[in-house]
Amino acid sequence: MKQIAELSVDQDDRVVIVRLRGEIDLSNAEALRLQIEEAVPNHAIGLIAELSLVRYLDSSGIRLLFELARRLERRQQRLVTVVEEDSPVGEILEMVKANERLNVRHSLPEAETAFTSSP
Amino acid sequence: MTDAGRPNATSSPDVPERPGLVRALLVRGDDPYAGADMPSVRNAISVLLALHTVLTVAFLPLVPPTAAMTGGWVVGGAVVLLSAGASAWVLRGGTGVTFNRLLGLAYLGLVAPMALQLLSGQSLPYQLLYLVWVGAGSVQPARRAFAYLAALAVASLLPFLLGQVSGDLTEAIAWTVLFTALGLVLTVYVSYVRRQRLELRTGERHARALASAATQRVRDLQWVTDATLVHLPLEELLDSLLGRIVEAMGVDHGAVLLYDERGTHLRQSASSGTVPDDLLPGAAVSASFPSKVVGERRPVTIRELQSDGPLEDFLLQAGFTSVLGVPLLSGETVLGVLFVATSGLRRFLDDDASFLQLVGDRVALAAERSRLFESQRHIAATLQRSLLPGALPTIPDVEIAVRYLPGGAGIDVGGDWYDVIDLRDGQIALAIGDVVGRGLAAATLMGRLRTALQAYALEDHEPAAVLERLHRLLEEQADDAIATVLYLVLNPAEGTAVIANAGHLPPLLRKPDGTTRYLMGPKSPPLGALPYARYEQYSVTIGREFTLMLFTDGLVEQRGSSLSERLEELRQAVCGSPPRPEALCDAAISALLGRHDFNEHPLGDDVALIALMLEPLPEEGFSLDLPAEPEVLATLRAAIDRWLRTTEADERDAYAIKAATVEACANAIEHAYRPGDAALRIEGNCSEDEVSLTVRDFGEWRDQRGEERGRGIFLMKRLMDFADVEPSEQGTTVRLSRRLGDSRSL
Repeated sequence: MKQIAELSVDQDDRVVIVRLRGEIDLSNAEALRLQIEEAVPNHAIGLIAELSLVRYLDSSGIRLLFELARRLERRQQRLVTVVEEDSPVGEILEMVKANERLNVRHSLPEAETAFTSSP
Repeated sequence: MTDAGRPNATSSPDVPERPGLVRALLVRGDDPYAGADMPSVRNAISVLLALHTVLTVAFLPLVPPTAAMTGGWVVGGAVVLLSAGASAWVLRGGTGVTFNRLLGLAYLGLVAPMALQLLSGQSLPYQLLYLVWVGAGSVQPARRAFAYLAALAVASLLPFLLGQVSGDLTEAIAWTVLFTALGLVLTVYVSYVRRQRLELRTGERHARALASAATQRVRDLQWVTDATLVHLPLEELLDSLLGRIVEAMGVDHGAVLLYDERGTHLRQSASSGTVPDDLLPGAAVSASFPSKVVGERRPVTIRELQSDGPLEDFLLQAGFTSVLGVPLLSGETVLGVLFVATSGLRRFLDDDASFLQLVGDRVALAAERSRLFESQRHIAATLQRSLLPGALPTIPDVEIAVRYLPGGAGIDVGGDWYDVIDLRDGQIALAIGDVVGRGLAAATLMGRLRTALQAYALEDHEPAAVLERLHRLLEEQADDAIATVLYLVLNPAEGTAVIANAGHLPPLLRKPDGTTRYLMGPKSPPLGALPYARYEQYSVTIGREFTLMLFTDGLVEQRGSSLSERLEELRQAVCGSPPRPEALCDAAISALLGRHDFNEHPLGDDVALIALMLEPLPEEGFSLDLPAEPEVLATLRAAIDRWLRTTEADERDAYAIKAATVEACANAIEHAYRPGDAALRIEGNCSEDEVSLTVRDFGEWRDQRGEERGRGIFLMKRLMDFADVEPSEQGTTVRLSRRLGDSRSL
């Protein structure tokens, strides 16, 4: 089956940026989470999940992000999530009150400063 | 198959034993005249009678019949005339001249010399006439000749005994003894010659009979085994063989028992003759008789059947008394047993056994070949089936029909293929192709191309790029292979299709009003045809309720008609057909291939056909059945997207409705079903400013597991104005509705 979402990894020296595009649902959420986790090495201080190009995300995607945050936390790493402002994906994260837990930002530079400002 | 009649049959030779010569002389045979050559007998006797006439004429003046002057001459004249007459009659009398009459004539003839002696009172020279009569009697069979010679001896001495003639008695006795001895020698000689002739003739007839029996056997064998020359399914072949065996051997019943696939049980594979097949319905046969044939690996004859097993019981019940069976051998392996049975007094001879074994060897060969052929055909067909898509993807607002008619006989499978791929981003890819060539190689190459095309299609390449990659793959992997492919990506939401065509026939597009045309465009060379081929693509508009049809050349190519004529025929058939894909496929096949009985005569070439109709979900409402699998969710979202496009829904409405519906489905998929086949029913309704959806499943929701899992229902309720989950014993129903166009956030 064709993948409905694509994933690319950008490795900064300390922060890993994972860019997702497409749609995230029950059919691919679990596989994506495993792929993302693998992309984060132990020495990294955190992960930016870049979701600006995600067209669709539902509770499966939210579960993915929460699970990711929980696991990174255990390894003393941080998750910062980037979604477009006023986008349906952003609104759905707001709806489940995930903004704080997932450190939602609205652009990549904002996300990067999140790491420098509060270590 | 026309059954040529069995060549003329002759009976087998039969040689009776001959008794010794002395026995033959004394014992009364069936035919005392056997070996006699009537024409030469007649000639000889006619000459003797002529001699009798001449001698009588010569003797009469020499020794006149003095006793009663006038009467004596009358008798003498009568003898002469009668002798001459008899000579003529014997010579020309034809079939009226029989041995019995000749014997009568000989007895009658004895009176002539006797009368002449008595009338003349002289023994000589009339005594010499008896020599003629000795000759006439000696042609008779021995017993009759002996009796006759005795009568002749008496007749020759009678005038002396009566004292009516003058002469020396001793001399007369000497004459008589001489004549009788001469007669005996002649008789024995004639018998000997006849016996020789008879033996010669019988031997000749026997040899001829043997030769003709051998010829007949060879002819029978050829006739029986001619049946194996035709390619027939094993059972039909055996039936036809058995029919011939039964006829050639003149038996009442014949059957072939073959080992089953595991080689443990003999089963009746065919039966012929007077017994209906269904009396022995292929049950495992463990009777002692076939086991004996298998055990001994040579022909076994049972002259009097005993009740030794079920087969014997059956044969006895059917009235058969003796049976002859031979093993069907292929090298060292016993494939089964061929047997014939008969109910009459017929005994099976060694000759029958060797004939049946010869036939059996050929039956074994044919059975082996037929099994091999069938298993190859099975492999080829299975391979071909496994290479074609099993189930088509379920796409809610696209109706698809496919047809695949395999062509060619036996293992001669073709290389046609088709595929329908759900690209999961709302687009659908259709592919149809034809690998040049036939047989397993073409079928496997077809399988590889199909797999590769699927992979390239899902990698999100443009149609022309997909074909270019396929071409490169073909060039690298199969040097001399050529294939035509038509690849088409349909975007139902936009109503467009992008087509790339590598040497294939163009697709046909039918509009709802029946207007039908071929979607011509830049045509690229077939895959594998030119080393540096470039592949081009073109775009066409496919509206609502348009039907697309893709096909392979087997549908349109026909000897005696030009391709353009046939394409026009197809266009008109599609034009006049109802628009639904299933009906369209039927119409195209019946118009171009007619009432073809595909089982009876396989098509010369494969025919593959895909028809597809774009049918967006109706604006006012729809009902869909989808498999309960995570993979359908993307397809469902795309379908809902296209449906909502016809309503007042904005981007956020669409997102909310899709997400809530998918949440309901995801819950059913995750919680209601064990792994396996299960279905979801989704109904949608739209009235003015409100969209409502119902998602039903037919399972039982398990408790949700994990702390994160309750979020789906929460989201459903937040995204919609109304959300209700109603579990029941038949399954769970989720009802959702949302007002449109409030310009609010989710």
